[in-house]
Amino acid sequence: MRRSDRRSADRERRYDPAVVSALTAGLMLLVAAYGTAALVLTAMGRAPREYLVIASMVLSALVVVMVVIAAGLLVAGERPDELGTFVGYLVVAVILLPLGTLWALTERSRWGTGVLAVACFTLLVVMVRLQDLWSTTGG
Amino acid sequence: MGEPRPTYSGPGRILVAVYAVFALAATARAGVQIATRFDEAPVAYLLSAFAAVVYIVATIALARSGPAARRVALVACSVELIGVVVVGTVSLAMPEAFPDETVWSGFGRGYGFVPLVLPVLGLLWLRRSAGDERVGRRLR
Repeated sequence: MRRSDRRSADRERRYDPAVVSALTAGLMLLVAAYGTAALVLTAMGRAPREYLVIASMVLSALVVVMVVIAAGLLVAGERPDELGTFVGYLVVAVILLPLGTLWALTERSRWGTGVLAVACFTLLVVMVRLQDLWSTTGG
Repeated sequence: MGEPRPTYSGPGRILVAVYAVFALAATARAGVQIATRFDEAPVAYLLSAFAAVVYIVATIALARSGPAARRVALVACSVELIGVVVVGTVSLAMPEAFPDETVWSGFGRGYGFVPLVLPVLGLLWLRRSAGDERVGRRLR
């Protein structure tokens, strides 16, 4: 993503930051698309349906993959700014969608769908913060 | 009609979700501030911690049913509204009093002004969900 990141990676050769950035950006797009869809369905007055729950589970699984990759890089010795805060955000990223989905499912009305939208956009903020903390590493 | 409905039903579902997010965010922020650099701005960080407690209490109270939970939620949302208005005003009028940001600084501008809107929505929802007739009479 940033040139300085690339240079530091070339020096250390632990991983390719461009690949990690692209994967994260792709996941953020998916989360944003899902959140927007949930918002539209809320406005249309739709209660959460099966396909929304399945999509939420798929997204949750992808988030787990992202967090496992980040955790692996941490173990390999990468150090983002404010390590404690970074790990905290990782934990929150994993639990946000599953908890939001549970809270949404017990409300069979448009407001349940709205909870899914809230969970998604919160997850998006968390991912942006993770990116910020990560991209200032070793620059 | 006239019967109170649980504060966690309907639109309250979203309200509780947003309150939970802020309880978590404020707690984490205060925790990091107090653990890593309490000496720099003790007043601001204690305020952060206070805001976190208010959000936690409001979240739990709104997520439960019954008149006691409703009263607790009413107090928590009121304290929250007063807090965000007072801290917001003071932080803009006397910036030197707050060397570091809290959730309520600048009326919550660091959080898209959600901290300012949230207690208003909370109070409106508490009134609406209480059953219109009863509240209408009590207010008169």
